[in-house]
Order: sequence, then C-alpha cells, then structure tokens
Amino acid sequence: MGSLVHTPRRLAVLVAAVLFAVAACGGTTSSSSGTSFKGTRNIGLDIAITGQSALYGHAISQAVKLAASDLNASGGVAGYKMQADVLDDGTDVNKAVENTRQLILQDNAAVLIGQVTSAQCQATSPISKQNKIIMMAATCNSYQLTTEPDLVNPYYVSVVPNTFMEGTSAGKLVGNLQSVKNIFIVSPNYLFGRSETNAFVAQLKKSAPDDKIVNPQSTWYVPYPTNPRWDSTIAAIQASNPKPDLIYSNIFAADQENFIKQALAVDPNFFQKYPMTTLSSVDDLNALQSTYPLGMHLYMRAPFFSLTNSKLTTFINHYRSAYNGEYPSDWAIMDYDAVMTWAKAANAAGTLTGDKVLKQLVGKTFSSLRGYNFTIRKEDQQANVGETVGTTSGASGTKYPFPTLAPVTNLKGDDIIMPVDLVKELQAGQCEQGGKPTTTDFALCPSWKG
Amino acid sequence: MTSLLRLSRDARVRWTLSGLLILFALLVPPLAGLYELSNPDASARFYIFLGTEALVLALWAVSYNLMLGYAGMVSFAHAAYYGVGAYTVALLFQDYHVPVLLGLVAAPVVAAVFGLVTGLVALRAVRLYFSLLTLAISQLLYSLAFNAYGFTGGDNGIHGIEIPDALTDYTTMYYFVGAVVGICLLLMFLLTRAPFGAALLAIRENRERARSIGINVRAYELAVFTIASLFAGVAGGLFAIYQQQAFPEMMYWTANAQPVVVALLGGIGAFLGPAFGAFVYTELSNLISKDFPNQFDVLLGAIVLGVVLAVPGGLASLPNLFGALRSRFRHEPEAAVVESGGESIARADLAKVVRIEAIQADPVAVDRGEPLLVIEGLSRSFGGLRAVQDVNLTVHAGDRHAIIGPNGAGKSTLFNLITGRLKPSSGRVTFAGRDITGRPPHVIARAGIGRAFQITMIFPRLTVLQNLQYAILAHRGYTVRPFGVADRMFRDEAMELLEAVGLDQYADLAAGQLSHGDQRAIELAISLALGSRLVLLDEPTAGMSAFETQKAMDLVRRVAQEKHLTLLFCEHDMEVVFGTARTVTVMHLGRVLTEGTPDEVRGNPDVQKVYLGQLEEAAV
Amino acid sequence: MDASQFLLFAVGGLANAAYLFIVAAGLSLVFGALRVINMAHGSLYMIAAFVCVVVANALGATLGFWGGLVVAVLVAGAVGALIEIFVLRRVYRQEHLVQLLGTYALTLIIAGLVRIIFGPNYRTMKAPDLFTGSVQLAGHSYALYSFFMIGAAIAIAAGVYLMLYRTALGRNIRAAVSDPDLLSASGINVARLFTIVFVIGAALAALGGVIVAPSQAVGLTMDTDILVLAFAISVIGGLGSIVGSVIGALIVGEVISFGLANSYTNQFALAFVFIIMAVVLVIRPWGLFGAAEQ
Repeated sequence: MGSLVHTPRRLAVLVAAVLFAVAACGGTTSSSSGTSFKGTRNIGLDIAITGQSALYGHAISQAVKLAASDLNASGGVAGYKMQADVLDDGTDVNKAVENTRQLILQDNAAVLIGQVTSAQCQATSPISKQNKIIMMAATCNSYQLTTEPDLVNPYYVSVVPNTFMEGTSAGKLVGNLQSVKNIFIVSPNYLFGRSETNAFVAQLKKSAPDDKIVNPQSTWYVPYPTNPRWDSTIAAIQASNPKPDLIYSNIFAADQENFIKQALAVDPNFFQKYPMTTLSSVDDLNALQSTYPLGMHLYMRAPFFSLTNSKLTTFINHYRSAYNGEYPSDWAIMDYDAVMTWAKAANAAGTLTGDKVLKQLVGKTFSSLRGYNFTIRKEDQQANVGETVGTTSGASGTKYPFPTLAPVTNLKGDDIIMPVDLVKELQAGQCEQGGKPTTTDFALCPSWKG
Repeated sequence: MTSLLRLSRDARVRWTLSGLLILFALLVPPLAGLYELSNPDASARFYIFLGTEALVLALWAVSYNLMLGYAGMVSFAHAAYYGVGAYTVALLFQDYHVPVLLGLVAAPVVAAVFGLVTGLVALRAVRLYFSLLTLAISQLLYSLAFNAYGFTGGDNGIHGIEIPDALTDYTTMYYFVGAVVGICLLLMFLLTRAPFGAALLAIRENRERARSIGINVRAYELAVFTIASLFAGVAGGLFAIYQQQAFPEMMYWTANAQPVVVALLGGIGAFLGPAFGAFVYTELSNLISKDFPNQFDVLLGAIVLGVVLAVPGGLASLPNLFGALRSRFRHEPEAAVVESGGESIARADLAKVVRIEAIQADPVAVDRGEPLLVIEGLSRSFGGLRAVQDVNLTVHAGDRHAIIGPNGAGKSTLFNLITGRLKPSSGRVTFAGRDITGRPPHVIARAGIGRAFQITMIFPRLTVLQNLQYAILAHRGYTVRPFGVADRMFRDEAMELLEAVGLDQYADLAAGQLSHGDQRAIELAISLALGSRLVLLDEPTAGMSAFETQKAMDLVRRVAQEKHLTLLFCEHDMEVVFGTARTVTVMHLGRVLTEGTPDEVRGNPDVQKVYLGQLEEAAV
Repeated sequence: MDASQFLLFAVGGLANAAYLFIVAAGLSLVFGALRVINMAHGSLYMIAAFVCVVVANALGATLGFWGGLVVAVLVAGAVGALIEIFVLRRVYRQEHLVQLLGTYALTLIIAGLVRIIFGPNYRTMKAPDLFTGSVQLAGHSYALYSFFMIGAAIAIAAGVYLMLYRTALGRNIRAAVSDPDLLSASGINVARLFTIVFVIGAALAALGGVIVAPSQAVGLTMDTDILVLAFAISVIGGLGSIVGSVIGALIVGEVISFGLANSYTNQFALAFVFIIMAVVLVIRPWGLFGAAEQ
C-alpha cells in the first residue's frame, strides 16, 4: 500500500511493545497467605463498573470489598482469606457470561455475587448451576429467576426483595391511599419492568378493586432502551382523560431523574397534581437532592435512614470512613448482607464447597444490616426480606442533602413474599396462557385466581 | 511445489503464518493442559473455553472479511445474521425440542435467507449508503428480536439450551467446534481462490471497471452478502451450542465492532488474517479485563487506534513491517518502486500483434462499411440542462470515427449513454442490429462494446497479469464458478496479450505502479481480451507526452487494423484526430453540428466559428 | 386526540427535534465537507454536557449556565481540533472503514477517560432562571425550557445558514461539499479548512450537549444514545445539508413523539425511524436535501 512514513513505523513499534508488555504482565497473581489462613479464595463479583448501571456497580463493588476485608479481620471464612475478585461487564449480557466463566474456571471463585440487571442474572445463573457454585443475588430481582422452570437453580439464593414482593408492596401502598382512584402506569419494557408492573396491578386489584388504570395497556411500557426525553409520556399524562390521581412507575436511576426534571420543568406543581409511586434508592434521592419532589410515595429496598438500628449505624460509619464520607446506598447494604450471609453459612459448614454451604443456607435464618433477621426458604430460596414504603418529606431538615421518607413503613417480608402455592405452580408450569405455561403473569395461576 | 517456490516473499510468509496458526489451533487443549501443570493457579478448562470462543470469532470475522476484504463492502448488519443463527438453534430447541446438532444445520440456511432478503434491499444502495442501510436493517432486526417477546423471549434471550453429553467436556467441544469452523474456512478459502473470488476482487478494486468487463456487480455483491451471512449463521449456531444461550444484544449494531476490529487487527488482506486477529483479540481482551478492569475501554480503544494509525494492514502485515524496519536499520536501500517509462509502446511489435488473433472470441459478423453502431434521436437531460439533444450518429464497421467539440459539448455524456453508464431520456442505440438502449454496462460489454476510460480504469492493486486474466474470466462467464483456482486460468492467453502491447515484463507488478501510458496499454489489452468489436476511447491520449501520444496512436491504429476493430473516440488533440480518424463528427452544446471527413470538417466555417467562439469566451 | 392534545405532542416533538438537529447538523456538516463519518461525534456531545454541568455547578446560579456553555464549547472544540489533527489527518485518504474504526476507537477512549475523570455518577444542573417556569396553553402546561430549546435551535440554524451562505469560509465549505476534487486545485488551504470545519462540527455537538444538560441527567451512555438518531437524521435529511438536518430532525422528533403517544404504535416508534431511514436510502440515498454524488 505504498511506503510507510517514518513516524507511523515508530508508533507501530511502540504499539507492539505495549502489546508485549501487556501480555507479559498477564498471568495470574499469586495469592499471599497469612500464617493464620489456609489459603486465599475469591468472591467473584462480575458487575457493571461501566455502562448504563455503572452507578450501582460502583457502590456494590465497594461494599463487597469492604465485606471481604471485614471477614479477613475476623479470621476469614472457613479458614480462608477472602479476596474480592471484581470484573467489569459494562452492563452487557454477553460480557457478564464471559466474566462469570472466567471467575469460576480461571479464578476458582468460591461464591458469585449476582449482577445488576435481571437479563444478566438470567444468563449467568445457568453457569453457576452447571458448575455448582453458589450465586448470591442482591440486585437483580425478577421473580422469574427463581420460578421459571428453565431457570430454577439450586445454587441461586436471593436476599433482595423480588419483583413480586416489590410490586406487591407498591400495590398495597397505593391501595391504602383512599384519595387515589385513577392511576397512570409508566414502566420500561423489559423483564424487570413487566414483572414488577404485573405484580403491582395484581395486588392493586386485590387491595383496591375499584381503582382504575387510565392508560391503555399497550402504552404502559416505554420502549427500552429508554429515550432520555419523556415529553410524550408527560404530554400523555396531561392529556389523559380522566386525569390520574397517581402515576405508578418503576423507572429508576437516570430515567427517574430525567422524568422528574422534565415534568417539573413543564409544571412546577406536576407532582402535587400527579404524585408518583416509584422504585427508588438512596442513589436516586442523592442524584436530585433538594430538587427531589416532596409528596412522592416511594418504595425502596434498603434505605439506611429508615432502617435505623445499631448494626446499621456502625456500618454506616464504617462505610463512610472507608469511602470518603459516602453514604451506603441500598445496593451497598444488600450486597454486604449477601456476602456476610454466605460467609456465615460457610463458617457453619466449615468448608467452601458449594453443596455443603448450601445446606447451611437454605432454610436457615440470618441477621442483616436492615435491622431484622431473615430466613431463606427452601421453595424458591428467596429470603423474606422487607421493603420500605413511604412518602418523601423535608421532615429531616438538612441532616441529609436529600429528602427522606415520612411517614414511612418498613413492610415485613412475610407480608409481601410470594405465597408458596404460587411458587410451586409457577415452577411446575401450571400457569397457562393460550395452553402454554408462562411465568409472565402470575395472575393466571390457579391459586391466585382461587 | 514449484508453484510455491515461485510465490513472492509476501505470499510465502503468509502461508507459513497460516500454517503456524492452524498448528497452534490444533494444539490448544494439550497446550492448556501443560500450562495448568506448570501453573497451579491456572485452569486448563478456562483456556480451552477461550480457545473455543476464539474459533467461533475467527469464523465470524473471516466470513465478514469475505465482504470486506474481498468485495470492499462495509456492512453493519453482519451481527444480525450471527444472531439469527444463534436464535435458530435456540428456538428450535426450546419450542420443538430439536437437538442442537440438527439446529446447527438449519442455522446457516435461515441466516442465508435473512441475508438474501435483506441483501436485496440493502444492495439497492452503494458504498456508504449501503453501509448506512445495513445499519438501519440491523436495528430493525434487533428490535424484532428484542420486542417480539412471545416469539423470541424478548430481552430475556433464551437460556439453558441442552447439549449432547459428549460435548459437555470442554476439550471435546473445542475439537467439535474446531472441526466445523475448519470446514467452513476451507469452503470459504476455495471460494476466494476460484473465479468467483476473482470477480469479487475486481469489484473491490474498481467497480466501474468490473462492470465494463461484463461482471454484474450487484449480483455478485448479493451473492457474497448471502454467503457471508450463511457462514455468520454457522458461527452464531456454534455460539448457541457452546454458550448454551442466545440473546438480542448479539444483534445490536455495535456488536459488529467485534468482527471488524478482529479483522482489522489480523489484517484484511490475508484470508486467515481475521482468524489470527480473533485469537489475539480473545487473549488480549481477557488479559485487559483481568489486569485493568477499570481501564478496559481506554486500553482497547488505544490499541485499535494504534493499529489503525500505524499498521493499517493489520498484524498480518507486520512481517513486512519488521522486514522494512530491519532493512532500515541495516541501511539497506528500499526496493525501488518500479515505474515503467512507456517503453512498452515503443516496443510494440507487429508480429506479436498478429498473434492475438488466436484469442479473439467472436468473428466479425458485420461487413466492413456496414453500420455497426446506430444512434437515433438520443437525448439526455440533467434537470434543466440538456446535455445531449437529439443526436443522430452512425459508426460504420472498420471505421475510425472521431467525435470532437468544445468543452461541454456532451461527448462524455454520449459515451456514457452508449456504454450504459447513463440511461437516455429518449432515443435509441442499436449495435450490430441489437437494441442496446439503456441496457446495463455489463450487458453492453458482453455485446461487444469495450471502453477505455478517460480516467485510467484498471484494477490498481491486482497485478498486470491478473487484470488481464480476470477480464478474460469475466468475459467468458467463468466468474460464476465457485471452484478452481482463478490465478491459474488463462495465463497463457493473458501473457500473449501482454506481449502484444509490450507489457509482459511487468506481468507480476501491481498495475497501479505502472506509468500512465502503460496503464492505457493495459486498458487496450483488456478491450482486446473482451473481444470487443467496437472500442470507445474517451480521450485516449489525455495526460500523455508527445512521444507517448504518437506511439499510443500507432499501436491503436495497428491493432485496430489487424483485429478489424471499429474505433469511436473523442479527442481534444487535433493532431490525433486528423491523423487517425476517417470520419469526424462535431458536437456543440449537446447537438451534432456537422459530420464528414477530417478535411471537410476542418474547412467548415461553422466549426471554425464554434471553436473561435470558445476561444473568445476563454479570452474574456 | 383533540387540538390541545395534538399541540402537546407536537411541541414535545419539536423540543426533541431541537437538540437532535443541533447535534445532527454537526455530524452532517463534517461528513459533507470532510467525507468522514465521525463516530466520536456523540462523545464530543457527552464531553460538553459533563463539562457544562461541572462548571455550572461550580459557578453557581447567576453565571452558571452561560459560563458552562462557553467552557464546554471551548473544551469540545479543542478536543475536536486534536482529533482532527492527530487522528483524522492520517486517515483521510484511507477507506471509510479505517476512518470508522479510528473514530470508533476514539469513542472508547473518550468514554473511558470521561468515566475516570468525572466518575460513574449521573450529574444534574439547574436551568438558568430565565428559562425556568411553565406556560399554560390551551389548558395544558408547557415547560418554558422547551421553548428555549426550540428557540436556540432556530437561532443556531440561522447562524449556520448565514455562515454557510454569507461568508467566505462558508463558501469554501460549500465548495468542499459539492466538489471535493476541485478544492485542492482552487488554492484554498485545505488542511486548515478541514480542521475548521471539524471544530465547527464539534462546537455544534457541544451546543447540543449544553442545551440538553439542564433538562436531563448527564451520564456515561449519552454518547451512544444520540449517535444512532443523529445518523438517522443526517441520512434522511441529506449528508452535508443544513436544511436537510432541520427537516430530518423535525421528521424524527415528531415521528417519535406521536409514535409514542399512540397506543398501537407505542412499541414501534423507534423502529419507524429506522424504516424511514431505510426507505430513504433505497429510493434517494443522498437524502431529501442532499446532493447526488457525481
């Protein structure tokens, strides 16, 4: 292709040198064992350090690292020193699968922590099953992960309220609001969104059968990946007839921020006219800080300011001193719980082998940072963890840079967890649509209808 | 064996590298085992798994390179067919419990159907627009996979695909995948060596030229698009088997970055280049995400950028690079770029010209003096501009007919109308009794009209010999063949033609390296190879020195006489016109002004006025 | 749908079209004059948005937005100049694919650097007080900021148009768009012209990012979010044509807005955009207002 100019040639040598250097630097890092440890093993965390969910990945990896060092400070797990082995999947499903295999095959992870999105967990759960490595889910939470026949995985344990539990919480919350009769639904069109919305609608029918959804079902779901502009949805809400008393949504993170900002720009009193019920977290509150609207009825998984207990207070200070004064978000708390739960079970089993640790996990009770104990039931290996619901208010003043919830209720796990009959029917494929078994809508299951 | 020795140093290096790569690929499992023995923290299974990934990526990337490296097409839809292949296997298993191995047979078929149908749409546009159209198509297919929840499982993807017990062993899986990939690569390789591959190279080098040697460019592009998507489907099917799942992100347009980066890294000029790149990329990717998890994108971007800027030929061209580096350090002079100086024309030999008779395809069917090309009422407008208006022209067999006229008279447009590059607004063109009005260029070329272009149109990166060989292959319809070795066919005939125009000593040089005049000689040789009866020369001596001009026209006249060629040419050089032409037509502002012998035209006062008028305008 | 509802969706579509136009105009201009597809265009948009937010929050309420605007445009312009000089100049004569890959590599690098410098969190800033507030029209509320966006787009469109058709620079740019071969023969310093055009393109991307920053969360996915739509608009309107970018943006903005409104087309709004893009490429590849290549 003609002769090369000198400079690119030197550059080529440089590139080649970089390649060789990178290759040479590769190779496994050998673990240094302290005198009191049998060896070092990995906690495998494949999480979104980059990509759409980078915000959560950041908090989660910090929490897992903190958990590992705390465990080591108290003697390790079953005699082993634990190391947080963190890989980035960029919120990509394919990469999550690759990384999970690497964590298991190459890095010999003793336990895996679940990813952020349900799509990713769906893809990595089969790998954990195949290799008999326990997967502790603390973020991804679609109930299909534990009830879809193809996905049921004996090594999968969930310590996060699943979409059934969350949707049910929201349904109960809204059902209790006497002034609300008409509801507008906005949800992202992917597994998590559909799953949770279904649960909300099903619970709402039970709690408040006279309440109506004002927008047609085909407009409940916004195409995903979501457009950062919500003009159409905001316009649809304004144009709606009858006007809604409440907006139900489970849009989170950036979408939630965008929606709120844009709605407030259209009408500063938007959320007084149309209060919103949505999934939220400390991160979301922190994103908008004092501009986060008051009077919103939120459901949150583990907001530290509402779950006050001594264990949590200690943890908050511990976390803040380790990480530059950052408050631990819901994700950080749940993932820390996940690691600690597993560690306790492994210590009880005296070994890191998956099957043996599982016996100490399933059916057992554990304490948590959230101020209550939870049990991992055997039917779907879901912990009966609770969900916090409440209304945003400025009651706490300037204590935190964002509004907190008041009034607030910490719903008990047992009140919102999926009934065992339902679990069994879903797992057995007994809920049918058009003659074929489905898990999309549990309202089709015999025990729900009955 | 002798043919191997005759290969250039470049090709020898490539064969060696390819051999090494294949050897390495065969030995991955035992090598991984050895690595595990020597390094207790490592896991052989993991590296074998990575190897399987690399194999599938190699197949995918090589199939992409069929379009990219061989036909010059940049597609953003390739990931879609990969995804279709994976979904075929997955859905057949999930809904109909079809065993995955059978599904693997179906995958390429389904992918090829998708490729064919979408290719028909995509190829309505060319080059950049083609690329953008493939982007639109791929996004549509992705949204189909993502939104059609009931059919494809939507954003969930499909999981838990069961595989035969034998394949659960990592090593067995590796060799199974390797076998399938190997067979596919072999098939693709044979295709690229065959006349079909020659046609692809011609298209990549010079689309216009390919058309004018009789290749129906769009048909070949559609064929290679479909074939590439077929093999992408196999790669996708293999993915579904060894990963045991399929998901829509496989089809998102940015997923195309993978085979493209891999192909670029390895080198798109060599057949196994992308395969080499696949192995390098897989290992590199693994290393970076392990050691630098927080800087993955920056590092990957930096490496790709580095390769793009410094080594555009990819890693496969590194040996050349190192060779050049080495010679620079040793202060060896670089191999001089060979430039021919137009001696070919000086060496034209009558005797050699006579020998080409042997390869003429069609005997002259039209008697001398009879009308060969008849143009009636031909017109063409561009918006409000009437470039050619109601032109009537007859070229008689055996004649040497010149068209002259000032700039903007419509000469080039007229040529384009005759050769099919443009469609006329009205009028008729008849050649040897056949109506060729508005037919596509490759059809007209087949009919017997050859064109030497105003801008030299050869296949620059192919050798001079290949230029001729491929022209013959295309003309005789051999290029549809997917088997055989193109570079071995019609060598002797091509060499004879080259000798006739005096270029035989440059047979193995890249045609783009030759001097301007010699490139014209190549074009002339190609016209002869096509067995053209009527040769259109569009300003044949433009850009030539006086010496070259004289010799070129000598050659043209001689060849025309010996081969009973009819010449139609337009020229600005009046010496050439009056020295060569027997009939002269004068055009002005799109119309025919007058026609006659050179002397008649020279003495015509209207003609003088037109040219003088032009001179006056120029002076203003 | 009655008239007041129609107006709601129409204005929403216009607001969308506004910022999409500004970004697409830059992409289209760069392609028209330089014949380079700049995949890193979205990255420049993202850089500008981040810089604007950071500067605006630092400067406080009164100066915030405007200060952020100036700094963001300067930074993006500088980055654009660096890209043009050190990367693009090497790849002009190479095939489209090499250019694509080079600019794609840049998107990776820039995305990584933005994450390392600014962190993975989403950032927000307030709109300037001048444009905060809502307007009542025909019984519904409208954000004043939407009208600011529309106004800004009109102003920028006018500015670019004037630049192209009333200045010497603009004449040179148009010459580059319509007849690249002639350009080198005409005595213009082509290298410098290309750098200037690329910087203008970067500035337009930056303006898009700045205008959008007060109304949506600024995060790491902004670069890819906007790129495909910018491509679609440039294709539909015509690469190299400003009028085309306006029309293309209007089409895309309204198709999405009304598509999302209707319960039947809800899920397919974005797909419609791609179908239109495909149809244009098949029937009239150079776009509605582009110039057919010779």
